[in-house]
Amino acid sequence: VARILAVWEYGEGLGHLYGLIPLARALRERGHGVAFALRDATRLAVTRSAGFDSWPAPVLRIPGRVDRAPVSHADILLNLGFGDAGSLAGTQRAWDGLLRATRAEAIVADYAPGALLAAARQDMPRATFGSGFALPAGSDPFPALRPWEAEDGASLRALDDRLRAALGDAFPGAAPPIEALLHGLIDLVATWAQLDPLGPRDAQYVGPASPTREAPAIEWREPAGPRVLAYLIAAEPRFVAAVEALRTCGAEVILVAAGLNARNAAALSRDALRVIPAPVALAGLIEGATLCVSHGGAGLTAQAVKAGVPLALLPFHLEQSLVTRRLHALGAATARTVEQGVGDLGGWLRAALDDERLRACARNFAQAHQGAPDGALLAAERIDAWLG
Amino acid sequence: MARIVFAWELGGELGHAMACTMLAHALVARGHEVAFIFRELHQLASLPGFEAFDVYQAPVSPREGRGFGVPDSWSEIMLGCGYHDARELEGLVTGWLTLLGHTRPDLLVADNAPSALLAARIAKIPRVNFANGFAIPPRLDPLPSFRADGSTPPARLADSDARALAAVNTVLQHFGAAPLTRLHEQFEALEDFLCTFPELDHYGNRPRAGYWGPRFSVDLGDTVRWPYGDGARVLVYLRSSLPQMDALIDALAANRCRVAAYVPGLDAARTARLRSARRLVSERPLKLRPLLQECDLLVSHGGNVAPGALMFGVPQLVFPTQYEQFLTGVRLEQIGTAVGLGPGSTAQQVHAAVKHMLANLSRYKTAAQAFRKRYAAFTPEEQQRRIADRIREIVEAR
Repeated sequence: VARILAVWEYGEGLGHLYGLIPLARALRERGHGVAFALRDATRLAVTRSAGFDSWPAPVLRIPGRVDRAPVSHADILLNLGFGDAGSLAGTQRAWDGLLRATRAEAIVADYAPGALLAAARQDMPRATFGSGFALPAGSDPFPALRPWEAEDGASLRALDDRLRAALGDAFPGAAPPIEALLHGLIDLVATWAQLDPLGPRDAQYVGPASPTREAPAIEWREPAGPRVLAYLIAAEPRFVAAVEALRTCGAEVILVAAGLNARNAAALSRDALRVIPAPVALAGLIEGATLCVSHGGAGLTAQAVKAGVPLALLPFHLEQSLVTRRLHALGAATARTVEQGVGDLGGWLRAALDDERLRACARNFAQAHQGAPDGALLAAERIDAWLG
Repeated sequence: MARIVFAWELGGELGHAMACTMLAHALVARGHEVAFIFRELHQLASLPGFEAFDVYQAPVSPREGRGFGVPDSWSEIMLGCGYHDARELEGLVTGWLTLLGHTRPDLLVADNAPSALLAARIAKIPRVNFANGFAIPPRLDPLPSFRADGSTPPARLADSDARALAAVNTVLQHFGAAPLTRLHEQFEALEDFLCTFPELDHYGNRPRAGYWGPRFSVDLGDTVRWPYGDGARVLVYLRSSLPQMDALIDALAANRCRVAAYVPGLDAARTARLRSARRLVSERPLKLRPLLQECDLLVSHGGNVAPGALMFGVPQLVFPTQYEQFLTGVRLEQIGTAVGLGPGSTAQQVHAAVKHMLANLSRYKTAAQAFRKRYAAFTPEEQQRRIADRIREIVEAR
């Protein structure tokens, strides 16, 4: 048995934690000691409530200028501050202290390049677990992230070189390779090959974690009729139009609105539309839905198609767009890009609800994956076996 | 010997880390053990002797200020940093409790660290405040507005306090601690090391306060000498993002000033324009003491360097980038030692201000030197000695 530090650093929302917490629980049940470190310290109550010691993870300085449309993992890491040698040196010093304080013997990282670097510098066993987006599909150079854009090897290499130079400056003579920021000694991808935003590829797929039970449970009200489960970010520009489309789509709707305050949520809740401004337990809800509406986050979309529920997606950042492409190729999702605007979102939503082909594709996928294990539990089994 | 933990939670720049480090050295010299819990870690290498200390990351929200307007009071700063949502605040306090549980301090020294104070209250750890006037608000109900012009409606202040207090009390209750009746109780401590002078206090007059003098360090960095020749000696300590940088460079050149400049990150083209035989530009921090001893004018944003320069009797031109610095500029203007320029100042205004300062240097210098004489016994070393003595009293009394 080992003392394991589970770390989440980057990515928004609670999806990462809803995968890592059941994984940590399963590791604990196998006799390991587990503590958490999170870059977003406002989420430490979530891991503490689940019974884990909860530490703030060191925070890099965000650069003054960032590339708004990053082309590779190196570009993203530079945007996150990994090109700043002074900041890297300072945060890594704090990582060393944190690893000492927790007496960690291994790391499980979900999009946690700071923790992976610290563990690599100490030759500590480390595993990654995540949607696949944080795991590059190649190296030297890290490949372009957008399959629809032409690759330019020289500019990709230049980005890698900048990252490499920063590591070299921060740790003269002792810098791990840049791949150590994103790869563990084992990498477990919490989805399936068909849904992998950077796949399909040769990787260890364990499938998604089961829908979360970490948050309060709610239930569908209507015994029959169409039901829409929506998860949207209130600050996204299409939110208001999407709420109106959901209100008029003719279905019972549960809308989980991240970042909305309780007063506005109450004001928007009317008739068959319930707007909930806080996380809810998705277990039990997804299975009963006719359609799932979201921005295309990896966890919720995988859980939806696993339950045979088709998707209507409003992606706005790169990972969501890549996930959306995979689901669209599968035939289980319809999507509206940001560029398409908000014209007739209501009609689009009603068409998705009536779309037999979407439903059949989602159902076929679910049948093909019937009985698939919970990805978090399977990951725990693999990590436990790997740690020996 | 006691174990003392420094907590810096809010506010940016090197001043916090530097002040904590200097005091920490004074405490270590007296046999105490010290650890840091810092908001920012990128400056560690600039801190003298930081290798001697354990350093941890302070819990912070990655969404600070997002979705919130310009704060008018301390409670509004707090609302933008996690206090709008009790569950988020519970997360921050959880992080502090984990860190305090591990470091087990006999005393917490809070530099702009309201959530650390909350966690220390829950964990029953003795605590002191160590910050400038801005970060130690007067114990008033509601917490006062920063707006010197009185433009904040009183009802807004009360409402903001009530919202933050609701989150605070939810969290205190969650951890089994007694609730507060007023938000300012969160800042209660065994001592306020209020590091300013009454004339420079951001809040103006406050009830019952002891002043410990400003925090600044003047003995770190590269030693340089003023460029040879005549012309006023102008020390430039600015961020490269100053919108009026080009106008300032032109004004300094047009007035044949001798310049010593530290503008980290200044682009190559502007560096080339600023640099000349009478204008030196450093890539690294400068040792301020020898420069300030002969300086005619400081141009800065109004951070820690501003009260520091005042203690050398130096007139100032202030370009504030936020309200804390703006208030420092206002106080310096009130005692007749500085002129402040707003964020929207035009090139013409910058030229006029530089010209005005240079033409009236003796008047500003007389006021600044009168202020220095008023506090002639003050030095950073003496301040650290007094604070370290008081800390010893506090830990020995417990």
